[in-house]
Amino acid sequence: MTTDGPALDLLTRRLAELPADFLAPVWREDPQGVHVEAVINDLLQEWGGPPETSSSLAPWQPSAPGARRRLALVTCWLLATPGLVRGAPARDAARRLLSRGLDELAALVPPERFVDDPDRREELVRLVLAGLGLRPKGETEAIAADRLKALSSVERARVLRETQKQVEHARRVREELAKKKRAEAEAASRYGGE
Amino acid sequence: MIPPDRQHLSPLLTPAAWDALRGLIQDQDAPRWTHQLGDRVQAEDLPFVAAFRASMAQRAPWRPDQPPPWILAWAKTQQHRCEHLRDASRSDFVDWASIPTMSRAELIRRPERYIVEDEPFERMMVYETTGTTGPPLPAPSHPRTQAQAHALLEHTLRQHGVTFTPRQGEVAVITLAAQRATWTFPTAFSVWDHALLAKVNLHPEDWSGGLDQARRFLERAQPQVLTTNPVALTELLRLDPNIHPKAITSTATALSPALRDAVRDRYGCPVIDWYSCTETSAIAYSSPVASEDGALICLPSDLFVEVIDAAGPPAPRG
Repeated sequence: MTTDGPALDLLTRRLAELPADFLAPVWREDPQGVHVEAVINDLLQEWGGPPETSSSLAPWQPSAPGARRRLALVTCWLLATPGLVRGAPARDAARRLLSRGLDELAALVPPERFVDDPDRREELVRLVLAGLGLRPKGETEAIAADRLKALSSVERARVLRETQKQVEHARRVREELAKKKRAEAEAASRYGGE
Repeated sequence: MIPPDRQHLSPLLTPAAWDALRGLIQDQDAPRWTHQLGDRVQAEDLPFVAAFRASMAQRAPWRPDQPPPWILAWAKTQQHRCEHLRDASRSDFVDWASIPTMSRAELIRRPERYIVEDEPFERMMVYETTGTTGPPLPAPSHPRTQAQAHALLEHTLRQHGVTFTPRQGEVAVITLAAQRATWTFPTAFSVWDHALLAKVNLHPEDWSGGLDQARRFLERAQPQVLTTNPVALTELLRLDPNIHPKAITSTATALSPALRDAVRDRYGCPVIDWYSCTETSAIAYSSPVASEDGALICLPSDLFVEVIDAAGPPAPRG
């Protein structure tokens, strides 16, 4: 997040105005669905990359995870913001985002939430900017990183998992302490003179 | 044939070691044994015990205000498995003071914060502390930790010029108590070549033949080391068995110089004040140097001792 990027509002507004086609069902899940790999191919061509092949488009073929393909479609709209992706490094970064970079998020949040919910809109925008090495206009790197962490669905899910793990650990510790205290003879012998 | 319940308690016990242990259990003057205990040590623990012994030999002596760098490095490696250390990770363990303090009250209130999260519970053991310095608490431990603690006694004895040679078939240690009721048991320690240990209680009710029987038992056992406490030492002097220990350690409460000297004069061996607590195992031992009478020396174990005040930061010396 080293480079100053566009204003956050500009991109969140664009996401709020997402055309309905980008939330349409994807092909093979629906016979009339969108061919995600074709949309991505068009976008990559527009950025001036080399011609795509079926193997370079494999991450978005119908055999790829549906959640990734649906969120990739939404993200394409954001990445198509005029002037956002410029030059080969940005193209590569955008491709990484679209292929595996958002998989964890896609598995947690349905795509329409990135349009309806202001926090999820901001989260996706911030993730895309961070993925492109940009920070929202007027923000320092530290603020941008903090804000992204605060909004992160992946981080929240991780904290929740950690919390559940800790609750389970605490329950088990108390149970085992009580059980083993009752059966003190199970403890090992010591040489101490207590 | 080793009985399965005994093998369960002492997984590494060999038939020959069992024969010796059975001899102690069935000794004609043996007390009323109240418990069966084993060391629970498994083969996979032995390399850890060897590594612990080696690390003690390499560690620099304890110096106040100078926490050894390995503690900080170790704490960093544990934060993924221990909530208490994870709390400290916010400061990224930049220095010693960034490791949060804890108290016995906290250990009672939230034990899960201090028990690592990825260790199977099957081998966890729980000792009830004596509560000398506060309310009793269940102190969790592990057979490997207890096995490593043998190196602490070995080190202390060495520093006092004692050649301790535990051997299979011989009684290495007798732990003496003198109280109304306590556990008594015989056992063998696999990290000491299956040498024997007996914990006995110098209380008449523990011996069908009274304390004369206790005297005979001690005289036949001829332990190399006695581990005990001031109350039992007083009782030992009264009983006056003809034994020849190489050393005697005393813990639990402070050992008065008068009692220490009386025991030393009677048995002609070092009488070592041994500072230990259940939560941490042994911490320090009395100096063998006469000019440092009463001074305790920290063991070069995996502990750093620091005096702090109620707010946490180190308290001034003295």
